[in-house]
Amino acid sequence: MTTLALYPFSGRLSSGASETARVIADGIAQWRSRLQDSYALGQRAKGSLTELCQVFDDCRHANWDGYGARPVAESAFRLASQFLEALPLGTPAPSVGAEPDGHLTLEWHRSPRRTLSLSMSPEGDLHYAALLGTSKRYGTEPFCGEAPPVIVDLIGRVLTA
Amino acid sequence: MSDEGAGSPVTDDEQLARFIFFRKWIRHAAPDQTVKPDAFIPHPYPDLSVTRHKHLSEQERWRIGQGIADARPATLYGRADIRAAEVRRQSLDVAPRPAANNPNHADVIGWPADKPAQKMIAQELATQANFVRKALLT
Repeated sequence: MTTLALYPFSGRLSSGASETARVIADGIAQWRSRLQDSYALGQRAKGSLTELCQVFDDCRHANWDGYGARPVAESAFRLASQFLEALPLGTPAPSVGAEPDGHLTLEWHRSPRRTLSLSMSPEGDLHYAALLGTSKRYGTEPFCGEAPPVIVDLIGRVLTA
Repeated sequence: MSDEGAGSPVTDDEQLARFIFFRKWIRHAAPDQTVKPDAFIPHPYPDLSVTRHKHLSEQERWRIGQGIADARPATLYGRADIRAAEVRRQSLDVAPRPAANNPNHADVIGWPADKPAQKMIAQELATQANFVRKALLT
């Protein structure tokens, strides 16, 4: 028996899956892509991807911040786009920004002490730092096409008290 | 502008200004505009460049910021003000580093090398910073 190896929600397929599994995965990916256009569910319709494009355009040259910043690499832009589309449907839109080391940032901000900042590096590392009341969480997760559960959990904790 | 005490040690109660030249470092949606932690990430230098308020009038502070903007060139949107004590609370320090075009220049030093730790500190600094929108110079 061939194992159907789909990751939840994304339609991504592990290597070695059957043709049937691939057809199903493609269908899920198309379905998910259409839902990105839903105002209630998708990042695309919420304008996150448009904002990401604007920031990338503003930051693709050196010294975009006036302090000698590194340009944002196309790979960071592509990975950040993929990350936005990999978020669970219905996730509120983040505010997009950039850091002087060339990382793109996504911020979910509810208040000064309930806030999460993510940095997408050109190599696909997701650095995060969150303030959750008196506690704080920070670290790095690899982005391999799926939104890391720790990040999804932090978004939820920031936005719901 | 006075050079008096420009190279003197930075006291805890001093205000420091981080000039903002990138509009996306400001949270425009907030009722009172605030600054994102992105503005406090130290790069490309290991230190973070700031300007001491000490002995400067409000107009002189803006003139320094505008002078930096004009030299780069960049657009000056405002500045994030923060007390030196808040910087030191994050196990950082402030070193006076007077520059030819800015005698009040200083660096926030002692940053950790790893990015997540830098982000966490930047988050804390952002919560303590007060964003001041650029004033029109007369």
